[in-house]
Amino acid sequence: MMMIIKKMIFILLVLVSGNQLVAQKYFTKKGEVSFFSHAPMEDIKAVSNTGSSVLDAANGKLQWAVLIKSFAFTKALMQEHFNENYMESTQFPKAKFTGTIDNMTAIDLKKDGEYNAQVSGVLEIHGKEKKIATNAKFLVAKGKIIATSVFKVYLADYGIEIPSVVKDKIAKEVEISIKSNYELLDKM
Amino acid sequence: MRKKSFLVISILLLILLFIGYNMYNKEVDKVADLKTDQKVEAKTLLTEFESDELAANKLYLDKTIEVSGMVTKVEENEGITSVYLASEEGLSAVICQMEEAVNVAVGSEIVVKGVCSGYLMDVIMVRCIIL
Repeated sequence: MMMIIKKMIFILLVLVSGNQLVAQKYFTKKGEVSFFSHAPMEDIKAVSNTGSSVLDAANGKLQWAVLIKSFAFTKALMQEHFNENYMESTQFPKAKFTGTIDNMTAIDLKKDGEYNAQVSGVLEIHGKEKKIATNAKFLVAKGKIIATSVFKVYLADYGIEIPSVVKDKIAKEVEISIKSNYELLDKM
Repeated sequence: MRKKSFLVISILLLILLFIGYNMYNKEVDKVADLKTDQKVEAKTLLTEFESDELAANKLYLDKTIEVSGMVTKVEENEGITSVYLASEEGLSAVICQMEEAVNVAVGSEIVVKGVCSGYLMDVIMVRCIIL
């Protein structure tokens, strides 16, 4: 009898927590990732609107991925150089982030409001990994969740070489902006 | 004589500058003007990426491809239209980011031409147009 009750409690617990886990995962497939770099001759900027991200509100685990070849430039030559000379995107097609929102307990994605998030984790660009920490903002309004973040990366950290001819013309740091709607993941 | 050759050289330099300037400012090609490298069904494309991403990357990455399949979802986000193809099993699909807003119905069979930028949870196509 005891065993059966124990089993039943266990099953109940699994069911309850399982439901909770499913109900707390959020995702996007249309994340906007853009970068901006100031250069003397002209600014370099590009945007991708096909970033993927999954956020688990139960434990704050956050994942991001974006395809390098999905970044759109206005100038063909810039796009070509970006892919071939700097990012080598055939060899390294993706940039990834795996980390956590460290103050997830202070953020309630089911309640309207503006929340500041501390994000830390590992960013992989050009096949090289580096630990980063940054701030993000969650705006929850009428069930819609928008997350934004702006941070800087140094090209040298990711082994991205700048040819010496243009060394003074290209900034050593790039500003990256993230903007994303998160939707509740109901199909698991 | 010296004056003449000076003139010729300056004209040549000007032409070179002009060509260089145009090359530098050339915009990214419209997909409509690009030659199609591959034709494939959305389902096949998805299966190929799911089973062997590296091999599929070699075949499709950065290539202009024509993908045929059934529209399973149309989404609009910040002025950008995305058409989902073949997303019946699980969550994965071929996501086509359209060049401009399009009017297609869920359930219809279409052919999309675009540039394949790779695979995340889905196969991502950018700069797409409907043929």
